[in-house]
Amino acid sequence: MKGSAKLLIPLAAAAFLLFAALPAAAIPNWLPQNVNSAYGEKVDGLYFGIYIIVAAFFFLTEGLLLFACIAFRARPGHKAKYLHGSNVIEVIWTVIPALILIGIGIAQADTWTEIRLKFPSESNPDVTVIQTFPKQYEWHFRYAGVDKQFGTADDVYTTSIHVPIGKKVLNKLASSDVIHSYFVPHARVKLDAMPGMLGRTWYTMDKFSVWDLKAGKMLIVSAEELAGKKTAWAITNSPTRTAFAYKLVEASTDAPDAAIKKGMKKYSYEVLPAERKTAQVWYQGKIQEVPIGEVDYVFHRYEIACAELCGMQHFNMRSFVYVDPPEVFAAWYSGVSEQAAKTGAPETTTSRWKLNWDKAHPTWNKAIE
Amino acid sequence: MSEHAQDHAHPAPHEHIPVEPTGFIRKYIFSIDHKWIGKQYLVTSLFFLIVGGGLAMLMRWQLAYPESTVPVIGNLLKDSWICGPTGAVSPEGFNQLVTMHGSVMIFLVIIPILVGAFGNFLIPLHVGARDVAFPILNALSYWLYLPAGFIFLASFFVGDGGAGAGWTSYPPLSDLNNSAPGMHYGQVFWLFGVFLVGFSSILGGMNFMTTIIKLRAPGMTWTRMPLVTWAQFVTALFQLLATPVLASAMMLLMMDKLFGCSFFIPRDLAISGEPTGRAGGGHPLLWQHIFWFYSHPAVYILILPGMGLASDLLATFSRKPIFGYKVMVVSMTGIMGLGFIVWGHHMFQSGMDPRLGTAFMMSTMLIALPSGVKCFNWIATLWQGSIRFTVPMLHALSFLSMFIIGGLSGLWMAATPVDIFIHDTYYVVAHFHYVVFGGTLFAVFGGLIFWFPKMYGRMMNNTLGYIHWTLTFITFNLVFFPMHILGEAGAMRRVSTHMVYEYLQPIQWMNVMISHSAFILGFSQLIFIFNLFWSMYRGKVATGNPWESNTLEWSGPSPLPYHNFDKVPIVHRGPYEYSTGEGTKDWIAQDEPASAGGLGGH
Repeated sequence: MKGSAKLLIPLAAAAFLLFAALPAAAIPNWLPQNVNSAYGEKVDGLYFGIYIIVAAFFFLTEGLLLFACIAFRARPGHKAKYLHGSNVIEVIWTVIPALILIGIGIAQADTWTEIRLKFPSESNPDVTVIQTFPKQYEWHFRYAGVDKQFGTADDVYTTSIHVPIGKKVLNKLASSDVIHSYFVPHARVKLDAMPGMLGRTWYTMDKFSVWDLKAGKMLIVSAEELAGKKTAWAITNSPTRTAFAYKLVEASTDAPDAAIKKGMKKYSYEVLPAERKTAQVWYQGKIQEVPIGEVDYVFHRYEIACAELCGMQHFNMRSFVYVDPPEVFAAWYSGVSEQAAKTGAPETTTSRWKLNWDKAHPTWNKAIE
Repeated sequence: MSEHAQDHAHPAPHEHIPVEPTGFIRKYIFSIDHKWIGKQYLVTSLFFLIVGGGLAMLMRWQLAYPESTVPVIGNLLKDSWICGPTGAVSPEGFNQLVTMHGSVMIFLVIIPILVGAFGNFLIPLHVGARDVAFPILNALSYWLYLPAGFIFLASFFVGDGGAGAGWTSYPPLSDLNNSAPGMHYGQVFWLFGVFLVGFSSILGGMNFMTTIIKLRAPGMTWTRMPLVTWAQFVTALFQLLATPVLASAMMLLMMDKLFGCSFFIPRDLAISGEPTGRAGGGHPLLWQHIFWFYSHPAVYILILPGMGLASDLLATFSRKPIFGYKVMVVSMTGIMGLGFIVWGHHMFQSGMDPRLGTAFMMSTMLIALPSGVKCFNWIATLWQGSIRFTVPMLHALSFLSMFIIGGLSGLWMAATPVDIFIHDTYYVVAHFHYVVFGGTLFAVFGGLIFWFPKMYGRMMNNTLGYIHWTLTFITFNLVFFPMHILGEAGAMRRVSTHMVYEYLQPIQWMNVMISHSAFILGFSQLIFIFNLFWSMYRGKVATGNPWESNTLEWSGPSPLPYHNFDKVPIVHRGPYEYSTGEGTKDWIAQDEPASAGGLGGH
């Protein structure tokens, strides 16, 4: 026992150092890039504020623990001190953490109120209102159309959403079957869609998601960064049908490459049709026609996930947010609205929207702005 | 005053010495001996630990290598409810694995091993009693738990698969029989299993509370009770007050499922466009309130007894009295009091009134306090001690260091705005595994190795013990620490693969690394199980007090006789009188008379 106890000290020390090194690995910022300019920075700020406090306590407590293990190890000639405690110390390490904890709580409260109790007004023309109606295992969305009235002929029904950059978006959530949860990681948005109850969540997305055709990867860029680039549209996100220049290709790869695991998808954009010579792009704040070779980016998307276990295909319940330049969004909005007014909503879809979206708000859910 | 009066108190009202039954059935099957029932709980919960761990291994395989055939057993599982035709875990199978892993680990492993095994074995010994207050009820608790376990497992084999709505079983998913595969009979079996195991828990809590209040030996005042027993007392209170709420939730959901009621079903619900036929008028949020009113306290049922075990181990192997005994007790009761008013933090993103969210955030912040104070006290116990790095002590130290991490990561989730992002991500998974595995399970391993000689009269093998601890400690951290990072990156929990999402594909390597570590972690536990059973028959024969510990059970031989104590012990001092400086040895048994050297107080 004695001999092995000696061996164990370096072993224990090494083990403790190992996990002391692990938090260091967490320091790089793994959060998805924040694109919510309304309150995203505040949420991330609180996240890192807590990080600093926690790190301090972590190194203090684990450091003392590790030190005690080394300094007070049993060895010949070393005796334990007979001691039952100290009220002074107990008061100190109760009061100080209590104040810190209450402080953390108070620091959160305003941001929480801002996110969950102060909603943008639906009558404000700058606010995009989107009714969100998940069902197993699809996301369905409805815009009011040009007339700003839900339940009329020009309502727009979609399965992914477009939002204008830098403008407030209000998602009203309800479910007709089980509980789903609306999660937009890049916008720091999450709220359950609860059957029998309406939820509301709002945010402002102020960065574009684009696909860099040369680098072959997604970039998140601000309006200024995009101004000098020629950005085209793909079939899924075009403002008007004539503007399609690209098609997103999702290729599943089973390559035995260690870095690419089975099922991992490779994304790319292909010119559509292949012999196309020019493409409409968003360039210097306008829609322009340029030769296809000059296109830098294609407008890409942010992902929407379901964060509440909702059944068999829960893992696959995905949708998208496209962030559009304001003029492009306006063109898309009036275009799809007019089209809807002409063709009418599909019969199967309308039955799901019978809920009285305006009268069913719980009292706390009133707009305060 | 009363302490001294009791020091010389007279035979407890319980001097009747029970006689050990000789028949096989009464002795080994329907035994009413608390020590034997404790061992029954131990072996049964270890069996379920292997089951629950196995389910976790299947999940980890799917997460690392989605849609690939499960190695070794893939062919056996082909076309089952868990695996598809290729022997790869199917999405609905994954939901069942998630559900059953959580439920088995919580209801059939952690609670039974802490309360059933350790509570049963230790409470009567620690208070100096011959058995629990209601021995037959005690046996009944076990015989409710065992069938409940098999009903859980049977859930996999009925209808179209096992329960798959998560261990939280949120309606309407769990409520509507056609909402997903396994939601009909599988879910009903699950509900019935939880109901039975909850009943077992209520009976156990009542029994242990009565034992601790009424059967303490002369001189065993409240402040002389070992912290293990204090923890069990607080846990028993939790069980008695919270579990009936769980039982009522299970009953309501069963009435919804079996009799077409609508406690949790709102009007106009439809699955795939088909109306459910239920009248409606209920509310899914009601379930979340009732469920978490039990299940948040249940989280403390999962950790408090572990805290108790670790307290005993840390004091014994530091050769020092526990620092701030009374503060430790107050902290535990504080955790219990606050534990009943924090349930809403599971519902921050549910659409519950956000003003309630603020209130629950503040109460949740406060519950970190008693746990924090306990950690400081444990570190202070080590301070100026003479620490013996035995295998149980290594586990106790691991408990402390891992519990600190698990506790600290809770602060992010308590903060409502931050929780918006990390809610239902792997951050939460990392957090509660650091508490329940890193905390409780390490304490359980330490406690088992520590009390093994008292249970079986032999020592567990030391070398295997060191190997098991080293492997477990390292791989545990490699499995669960990166989950914080996955959560930070926004990886949802309870999805069968992250590969579907563009933003999660770049961190898939982390899932692969976690899974490989998890396989080693799972394998390492087999070393422990082997050591346990091998040592029962081949271990070194133990002396009465191999660890030089103070509490009452160590004064007798190993293993203890059927009636525990030949004479009901008289307690003279507190449980942690180490290194008092009097006499030649650095420990004084609680029942050693004061004249033998040592302090009379606690």
